[in-house]
Amino acid sequence: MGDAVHSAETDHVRRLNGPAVEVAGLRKVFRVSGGVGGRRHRDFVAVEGASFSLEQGHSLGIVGESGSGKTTIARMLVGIDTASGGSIRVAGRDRSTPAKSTSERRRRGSEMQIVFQDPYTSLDPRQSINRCINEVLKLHRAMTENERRQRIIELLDQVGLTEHQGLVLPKNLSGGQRQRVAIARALAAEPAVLVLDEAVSALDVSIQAQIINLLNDIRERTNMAYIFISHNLAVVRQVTDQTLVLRKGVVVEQGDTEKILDAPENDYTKLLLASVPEPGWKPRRIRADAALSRESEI
Amino acid sequence: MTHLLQIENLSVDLVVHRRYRKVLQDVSITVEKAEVVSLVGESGSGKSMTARSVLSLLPAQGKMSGGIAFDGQSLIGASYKEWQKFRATKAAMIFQDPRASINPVHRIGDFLTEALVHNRGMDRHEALERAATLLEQVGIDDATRRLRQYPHELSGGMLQRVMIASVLLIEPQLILADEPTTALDVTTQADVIAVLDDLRAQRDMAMLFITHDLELAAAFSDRIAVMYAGFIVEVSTPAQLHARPLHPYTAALLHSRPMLHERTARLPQISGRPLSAFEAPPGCPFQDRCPYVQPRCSESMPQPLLIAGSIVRCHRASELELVSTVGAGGGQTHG
Amino acid sequence: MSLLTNLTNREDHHLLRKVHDRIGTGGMVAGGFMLFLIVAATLAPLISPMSPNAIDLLNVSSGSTWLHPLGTDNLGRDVLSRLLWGARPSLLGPTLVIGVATIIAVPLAALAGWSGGVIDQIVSRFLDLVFAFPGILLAILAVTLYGPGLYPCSMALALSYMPWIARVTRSEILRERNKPYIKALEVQGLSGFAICVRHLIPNVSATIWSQVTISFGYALIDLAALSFLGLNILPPGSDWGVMTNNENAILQGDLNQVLYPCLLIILSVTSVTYVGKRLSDENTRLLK
Repeated sequence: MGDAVHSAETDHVRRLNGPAVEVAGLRKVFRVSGGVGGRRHRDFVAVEGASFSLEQGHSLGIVGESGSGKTTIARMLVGIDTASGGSIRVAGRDRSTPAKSTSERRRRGSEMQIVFQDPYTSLDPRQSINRCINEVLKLHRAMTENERRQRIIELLDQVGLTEHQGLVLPKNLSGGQRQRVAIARALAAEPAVLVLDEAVSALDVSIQAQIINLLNDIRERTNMAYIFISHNLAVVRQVTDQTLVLRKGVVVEQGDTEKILDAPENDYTKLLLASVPEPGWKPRRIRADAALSRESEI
Repeated sequence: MTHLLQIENLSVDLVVHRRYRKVLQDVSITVEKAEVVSLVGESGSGKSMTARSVLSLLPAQGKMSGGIAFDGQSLIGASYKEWQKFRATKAAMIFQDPRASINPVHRIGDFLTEALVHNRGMDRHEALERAATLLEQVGIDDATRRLRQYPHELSGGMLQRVMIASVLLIEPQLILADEPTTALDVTTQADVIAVLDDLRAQRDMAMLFITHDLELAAAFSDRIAVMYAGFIVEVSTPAQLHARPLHPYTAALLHSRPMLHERTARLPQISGRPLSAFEAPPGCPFQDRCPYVQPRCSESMPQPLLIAGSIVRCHRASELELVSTVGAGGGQTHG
Repeated sequence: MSLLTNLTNREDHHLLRKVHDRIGTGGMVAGGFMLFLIVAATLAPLISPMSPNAIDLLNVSSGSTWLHPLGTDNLGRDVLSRLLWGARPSLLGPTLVIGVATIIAVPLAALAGWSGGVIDQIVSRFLDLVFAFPGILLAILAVTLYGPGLYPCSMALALSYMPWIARVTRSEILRERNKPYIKALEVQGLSGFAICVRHLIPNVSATIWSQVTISFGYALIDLAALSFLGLNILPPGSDWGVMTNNENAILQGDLNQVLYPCLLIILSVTSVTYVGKRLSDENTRLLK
């Protein structure tokens, strides 16, 4: 039973021809009000000219520090923010401009889903887990009530939750369990691409390992493409094939994850790597900002 | 010999929803002069509460038993005044979120000099000068201008440096740092940690460093205490901890962290979730998640054992041979 | 039989304890008092000892007697019966006011908070405009147009109370709509209407409820004041406001005739407001 559904899901994703995601020259400018009474505006460029493409079943890491623009990219991809320039194609369809109708939004929802960082605010506190997933199934899939009930149990099982846990409210689940529910809710739409915006960053180390394994299992089984946004390079190594390093809205390096983490070419990437505590690591006074601004002046 | 800080059999219960809940159980740890001890654990392990207990910063209606002594003098039963004096001169805390612990309507200069001017009666100009010197040392350029700025004008990393400067200014013998870099970017974290450790070492200050990051703790600690469900389950040196962890929880933590330089096909995961002290079953709190569990583990909490210079609380510590990385043994026992 | 009563008892016990956990002993007392008033008002035709308008000129301004437990007024009417009958418009009025105000306010607030931008600007300015008119003034306007009565007064007050509820609800919705679970539903492609009705409004309902109960108390006082001014319920009909307007009694020193309705007004306003405050405190506690 479960296998049949899984293979159907795999088919669904495989039916695409061409890349799952194509982004070219993506740009986002925020207007920041400044001055007395906020009359004077100045433009803040959050993302400048990001381009990448992602094949089905592959996983792309977007790494960077706070203010690098990585979350802004995620928000533009799923349509929470509107791009100021450039183009976004997901599953072969353009989504550079906001959806014009509810059905258009729903179709985009079935192509790309997102999991957020904070498991404690990612679920409606008044909705039981079953109802939460049921709502998504009703939205995207033509299923009878019985089929939906069956599918909910399968989805919960896929993310390692029991049938009983489907009956409870989010407050009765731990942070890691809630993040599993958020993943199940995203999977319910059977998207071609899953955006994970710091999805394991708020979790304890032992729970983080569980979720990383879960994500890798799901990708293997469904051939879904991931866009994995994180500040944690060690986690990016475990989950992605390609990586894009962002600094202040600009892509400074992109390529195979292994190559970037083993033999980085950009100085900023090197600095990021050198800052990660690991056995034998000694904190050094790098003076990150000073060193880099000096370097960029040269 | 007297220890700078000695915590002995400390147990703490806090009121949650009108009920007492255990947060610390039988915690014993010492910090020597100029030594860095890290408390490492996941959420709910009680690491922050241990540090707060040292400064008597527990929420109201907390129940506390056991001993805390500083430089040989017991702090238990000290009056409010004595605690204040202790906090103003002997020990100081750096919190995780500097923005929440620095008054946003005061200038940086006022914040930094407040303690010196009010508690030590130092001249304001002299205090400002000292503050400026220290700001330069913690890596803030243009210090005299910064002193006139307000907290919202500084980035998180800058503010945490200000926080560190404020702690160094009162020249305590002991610094308690509660996840001081968790909210910062990695590059900033590396720098802030380096600053903190350099300046602390120059002044012979001891530090109790609280973090969830084992690697970070290992980078500059003299000893590491691993906490789980309100207990300290293992105390060891960083080298020893990585080479031969004695407690199954420590080993599991080391295994399950993702590695920067290699991709693990499947991270060895600990089933279940970290427990808080009040949820823990009788006996060893780790029993439900432990791959080496035996019937006796649910009968009693193991007493601390001294093995090869490390302290461990596990019934099977002497027979298990745990490793820190997953090799051919796959994290299983070799013995 | 005994099993059944046992079961229902246990159920009741459980429910009572749940209510007690949320509003405390004080809230239980206040809520119980309001429940008592509502039941008494509903059953007024059955339980009031005599007709509220039966005049007995031989027995005016009497003190408490067996026949008239709370005495009679200056026309010899039974004060207890008048209080019971008067409870009906006195409680129905504010219910109408707040009910209508809430039914208009919540959709407006959801529209403004959800849409943002120009629509939010327009709705907010409209609310500000309505806000500028004092309720009593609107009621006087309504009375001059439609004549005195409970309905014109209630509708006018409903309009003036609407912005109070709408503003609080809007700001709460603005806060709630940026939470990731709402964003996730947007990404799923759920329509804005469904998100508002199924998720946003239920999740700000605690705030709406506390605002509603607090406004209820104010509306009760306003309606009583309008009756006192002779704009709402007109004699011989009566509510508690009318009963306080009895200059004969006051001049003759028979304060108890005026005292009882005043007491009821104060107690019911305090009770409803107290329960509302407890609910809102509880809500903040649960959010933490």
